[in-house]
Amino acid sequence: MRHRDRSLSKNSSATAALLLACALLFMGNAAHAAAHVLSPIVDQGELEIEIKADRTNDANSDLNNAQSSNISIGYGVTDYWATELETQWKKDPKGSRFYDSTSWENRFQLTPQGKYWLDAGLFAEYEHVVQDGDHDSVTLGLLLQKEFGRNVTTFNFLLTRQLGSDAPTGTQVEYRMQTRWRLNPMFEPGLEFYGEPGELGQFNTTEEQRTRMGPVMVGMLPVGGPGKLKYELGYLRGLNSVSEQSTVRLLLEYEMHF
Amino acid sequence: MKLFYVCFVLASTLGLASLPVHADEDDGYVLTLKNHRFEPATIEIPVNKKVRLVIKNLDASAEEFDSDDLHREKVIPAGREGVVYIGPLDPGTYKFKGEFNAATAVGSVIVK
Repeated sequence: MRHRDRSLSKNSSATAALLLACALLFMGNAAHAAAHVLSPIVDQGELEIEIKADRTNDANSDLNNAQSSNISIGYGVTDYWATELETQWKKDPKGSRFYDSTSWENRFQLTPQGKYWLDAGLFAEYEHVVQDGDHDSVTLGLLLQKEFGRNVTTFNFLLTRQLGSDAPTGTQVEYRMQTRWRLNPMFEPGLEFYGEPGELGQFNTTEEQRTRMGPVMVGMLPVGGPGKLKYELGYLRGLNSVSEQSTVRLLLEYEMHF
Repeated sequence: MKLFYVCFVLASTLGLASLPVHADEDDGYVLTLKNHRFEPATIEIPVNKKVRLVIKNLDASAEEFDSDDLHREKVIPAGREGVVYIGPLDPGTYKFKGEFNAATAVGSVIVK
């Protein structure tokens, strides 16, 4: 049993190192922020160090090789509130890499997990940008999660408004969904869906909405020591001509309690 | 009108979230943590029932109730109690542990 445990930990560490190397290779800029589906569940006392990155691929040079990368640190302050500080770098398809923004994110768990028909939470973020011409923004969101046996489905509905007297008016809508099957703690396959319909009350036509969908693998790797390494590796296909043909995204999150 | 949409979505979701569950909810089961061991180490619950687990931590340090099988994690501060809702579950054995003292704080939920 001990030999098997050492072997498992060694394999997990190797996998984690490979994923970390991929994340570092990814790190660059992108036209859009690295997105992932947010959970409404807060783990009190949990410290998280997270790296997120994504990279687009498209025959159109205006959409190809856009990259984004985020580094963040978060903490579960209470059993209903988790807070996170995040920095973001971007690279536009034909541009060079630049530091883009710093965000303060908060998740609030509204309902005890599993008590009601679904789990609900709220999301609130303030993003401070550093590039001339950009605007700070506030994002509020609804986070929902439902378990169906071994299936976990999570849905986010986000509203973002830019700030400043010369900022674009209107509130931008975004939705995200992930459904995954808890087959094994280290490998949970699933599907994801991301959509940006446009401005609240003035949605774009379906063909003009940035919409992406694809498989994802989620898991938790025991890497030894006091913490665990969570990963998400996804491949998204654009569903129309305004969406990048494909996007690869990676999330690595080291979690520990103290 | 936009504010109306936002409030409508929020109110609908919170209303949906508080719907009573399809399966009946049981009164509850009590797990006690003492000397980094769960007492009882095994509990039996009925099939297709939502169950309320009350975990009382009698130790001098915090413990995290952690179960991959049940998809639940909850930190219970020292001297306090926490509540975890599980189910409805299919028949089988579902393992849990105390994350901070995994060598001794282990247990299982048997569903039948």
